[in-house]
Amino acid sequence: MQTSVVSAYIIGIVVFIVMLLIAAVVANVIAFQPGTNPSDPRKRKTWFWILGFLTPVLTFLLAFSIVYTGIRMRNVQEKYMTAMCISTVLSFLLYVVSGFMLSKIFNHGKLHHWFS
Amino acid sequence: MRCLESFVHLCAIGMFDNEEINILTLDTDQTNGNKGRVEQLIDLYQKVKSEKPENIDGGSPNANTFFSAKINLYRFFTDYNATERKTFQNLSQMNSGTTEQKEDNRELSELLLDEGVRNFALDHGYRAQTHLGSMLMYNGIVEAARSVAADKSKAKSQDKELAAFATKLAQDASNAMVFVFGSVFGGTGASSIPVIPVALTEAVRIVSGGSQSLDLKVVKFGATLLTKYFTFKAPDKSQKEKEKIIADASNFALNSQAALQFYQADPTVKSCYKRLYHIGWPINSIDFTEDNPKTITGGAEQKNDCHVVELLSACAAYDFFTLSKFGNQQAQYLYRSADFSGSGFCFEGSDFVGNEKGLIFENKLGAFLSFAHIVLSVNGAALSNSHGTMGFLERFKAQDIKDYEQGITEAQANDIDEYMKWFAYDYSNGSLTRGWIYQIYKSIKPGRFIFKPSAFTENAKELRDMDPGNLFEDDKHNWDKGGVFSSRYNNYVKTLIDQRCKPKKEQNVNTTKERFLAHIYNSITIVQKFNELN
Repeated sequence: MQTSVVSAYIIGIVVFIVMLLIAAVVANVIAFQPGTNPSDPRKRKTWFWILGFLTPVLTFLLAFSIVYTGIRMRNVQEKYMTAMCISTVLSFLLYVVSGFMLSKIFNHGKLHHWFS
Repeated sequence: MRCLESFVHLCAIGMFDNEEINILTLDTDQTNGNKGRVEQLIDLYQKVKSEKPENIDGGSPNANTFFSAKINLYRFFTDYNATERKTFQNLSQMNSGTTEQKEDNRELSELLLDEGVRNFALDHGYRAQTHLGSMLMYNGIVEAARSVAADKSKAKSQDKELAAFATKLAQDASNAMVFVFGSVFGGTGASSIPVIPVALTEAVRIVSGGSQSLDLKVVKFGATLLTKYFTFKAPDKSQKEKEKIIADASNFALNSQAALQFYQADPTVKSCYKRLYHIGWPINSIDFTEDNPKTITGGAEQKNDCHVVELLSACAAYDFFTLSKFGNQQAQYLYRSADFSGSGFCFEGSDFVGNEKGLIFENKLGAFLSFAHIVLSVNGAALSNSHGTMGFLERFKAQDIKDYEQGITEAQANDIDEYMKWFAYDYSNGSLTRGWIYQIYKSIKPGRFIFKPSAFTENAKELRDMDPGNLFEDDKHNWDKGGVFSSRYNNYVKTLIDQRCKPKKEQNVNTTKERFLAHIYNSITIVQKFNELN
């Protein structure tokens, strides 16, 4: 039972890391645009938040489909559901906080546009 | 004047590091279009260099950056507008004095000058009458100096500017180097080259009240011996009848030959000048009347396109000013040849400034051309009338680089855009107006000129799609293409925001604008892979 709850958090962490990596790759793939009102910072920010909102959704869906559906005992199900919800929220918060930190660390690079 | 235009653009690309250059424009024709154009260009250069828009001081000299030289402009023209000064006949006051003097004057002038020469209007230049022109130019300079010496407050502004130039020259006499641009086959330039050193010496003596003088052994003089390279339609019968004396391009080759014989033999020229650069154009001369069948003798209408020969003249000045040692011997006569294949010249950087500095020239000219295309084509300052240079500032802001946030106003950024239009091209109402480098390229065609023909496209769509990193004929200096999802421009911006591009101490840049221009210069130099030169 204990292992099952941990898996909800592991899924949340894995999803947050993968989504953040994808967001970083997407940000770097988007080329710098010329002009006085370049569209690339807006695109990076948009993609960051799209992937950010997908993070809790994916966390929840993955945990639900991989682990939750296999749990038969009702009280375990309830505990896992609670862990899934916490993991979902945590994955989103971790994604946003880590994104914010990366944006400030690489403040002259493309990741800066996530929070500019 | 067009040689001077090329010279100013050489200053803009950064060929004259840590130099303060005093320019004296000298013409007989106050309203001349080319004179007006170069003076506007210098004004714009000074605006770009100056820190504050309300105080156009021309900034300070820098190194390894765009607009590195400080330029001061002095405007002088011999004023022939008033009726009593309109012609030689009137100007020389031959009808004053005693009867005997009048007779002597008349006989002397008739002996030396034809009637037509004595009576043509001087306000459009000396019209290839160099024997008259040299005398009048010397007279004009001395007259201006006398006017200032007599009463500065009453002197004309152009006389005061000449006096200020002469004073500056006297102050810096021990290090001063003077380079004179002018052709030897036309009127004003050809008339002026032989007399400028002695006329300026005399002006210094007069302006200082006899307390200062120029030692022509100390002050180094150089000049171009620019032979025939342009032509225009011969004046028609009615024009000849109306104007009496009018420059005729069919005589230019003969004028050039005669002038060269003079410059080779004249002891005054040989003792006054240290270096004389013989520059010519051995193939078809550019026809300035191609689009205008009327022979324009001068005035505001005379705004002819620039030619590569003028750039070569400006490069002669570069050679002169960067020479570390001058011998004490008499004038040296110099020339250089370039590769000619097919139907045109194939110019490389070394053809302009020599083998040692050829790559530096290619770097600086290429960097400025890339900068111009980013501003005008990519950011759309010329094509869509948007803000080109502001694009760089917005990029710095977007990348959290705060170094240039304060100190460059939108109007100042627009000045840089405007300069780029003069340098490369402008596009309005569906038609392109060639700037300096486009004109130079046109004069070289069908020959080759360091850059690909696509760098000088005049097609609006191609300009919109312009790749500012793919201009060089030698692919080694084109910017890296990047990967599948990247582009040359994307790679360039990555370099632009890199710490390596920040201005360095040795660049001697102080104001925000100077640091900004140095940053752009450094970034383009790195992506062009020329950075090992500096």
